Amino acid sequence: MCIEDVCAIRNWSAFDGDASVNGTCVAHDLAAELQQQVLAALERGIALNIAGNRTKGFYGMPAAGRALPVSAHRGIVHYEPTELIVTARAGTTLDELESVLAREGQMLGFEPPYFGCDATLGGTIACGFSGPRRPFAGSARDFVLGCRLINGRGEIVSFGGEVMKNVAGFDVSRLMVGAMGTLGVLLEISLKVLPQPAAETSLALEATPENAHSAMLRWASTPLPISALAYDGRLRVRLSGAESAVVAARRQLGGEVEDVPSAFWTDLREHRLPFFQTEENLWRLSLPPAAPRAWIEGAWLLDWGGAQRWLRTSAAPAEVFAAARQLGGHATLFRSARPEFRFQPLPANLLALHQRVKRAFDPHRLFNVGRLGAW
Amino acid sequence: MDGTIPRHRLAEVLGRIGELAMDYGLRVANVFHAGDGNLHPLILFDAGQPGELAKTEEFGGRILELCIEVGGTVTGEHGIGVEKINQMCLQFGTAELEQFHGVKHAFDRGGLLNPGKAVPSLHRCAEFGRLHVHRGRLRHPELERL
Repeated sequence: MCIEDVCAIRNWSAFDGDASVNGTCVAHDLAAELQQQVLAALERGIALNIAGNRTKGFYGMPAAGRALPVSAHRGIVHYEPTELIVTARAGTTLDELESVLAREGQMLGFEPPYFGCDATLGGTIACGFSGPRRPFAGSARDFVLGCRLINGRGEIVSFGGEVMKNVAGFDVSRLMVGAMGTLGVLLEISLKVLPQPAAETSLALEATPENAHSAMLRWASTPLPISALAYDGRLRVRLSGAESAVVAARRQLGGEVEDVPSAFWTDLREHRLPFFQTEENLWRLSLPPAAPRAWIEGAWLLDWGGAQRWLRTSAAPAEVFAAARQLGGHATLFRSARPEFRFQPLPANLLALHQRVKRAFDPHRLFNVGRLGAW
Repeated sequence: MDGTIPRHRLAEVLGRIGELAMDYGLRVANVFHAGDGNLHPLILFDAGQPGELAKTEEFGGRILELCIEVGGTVTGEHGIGVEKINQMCLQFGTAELEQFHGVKHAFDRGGLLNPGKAVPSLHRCAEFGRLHVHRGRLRHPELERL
């Protein structure tokens, strides 16, 4: 579900095509109209700024061009609970999608952050965001089975499909995850979904940062049914699975059982913890889980068992980028009031490769120019 | 063979493979991952019989086309290589194939790495005679077709 205490309760009742689902939201297939808009922009040489519901507009850099609204292109196209697959249009809200899945006892395994009630599936996939379950279940990219998109020549193209195993052609659908709309306009996305765990509980343990980090590394290599591991001054553990496994693991790990198992993890995922309420730069560092603590001055919060580290700091971006690189990962300036460059600078050869990939999909530089970098 | 199909169509596809086996006069042992719809039909043939290998390969191609028809893919695990390259012309349209070539060119500008494998050229699809036709218009009509 969405952010329950913020979003209005909705009764999403249908996933079949273009039906009205709650009297106000109507699902539409606008692929042909969007294609016409892209072709018109192509003809006139007008760059396009792909716009969902703008819940993630804070992320990355501003794109040039005229807005191309895509959120009306929405609706679940195909959902087959027995096959654990769903295909939805890019403008479908995560709220609707997760509500429909929940009714069948299923969920998006990558536990996507919303960052706003009207977050769309397309924006989520374009940003490539994954939540606390990511190291234990897989990332957004891992769950994408296929997609349909409009490329920069105005062609509607489809890659991948709705089957779990598929190695025909290059894995273009997963290339779209995190591409920030720079390669095309996502129209439909097919995802693998997962059954919800039968039981779930959350623990909080007192620990120093060093002890918490070593415990996270140790536990991650055990068969414990862990579905999230974080440290925010307390060591946080979520256990998900069969009731007997969760109970046994809870006894083994000890600590305090949280009253509402999902509360901390939803607040972490949505950046609603006090840690994230800051005027300083907020950085996301993606590091090997065992990497030592970086030497940057600031406040740290560890997620993903140590693989994703949030940093509040006023340190210079160059210093953070250099530290992340030396520790074997990369840094992203996730939120900032200043117009800084947000992404880890690429070596010249990789930058050139990114630019060539961009040209392969969008030779006339129509889509989201500048959102990820100078291309 | 290595096609993958939506799991709920397993029974239908196995039935149709059986019908094809009758048509071709060849036997098939259907080995498959029932859990994810990945089929590995083993076609039994006598390599000593003139023409039987060609007939077997054609039969295999028909099975892959059946996988595409029901919403699946021609390869779930093994990859395209050269054996299944013609069926790529059926699974993907020309725009997708051109996009694949564009991606390959971004990584391999000199065309050094396994040229001719994994993604068919449009010429090859034209020769295969099964190029996708979109909205009644054949792309690249200048290509010679056999």
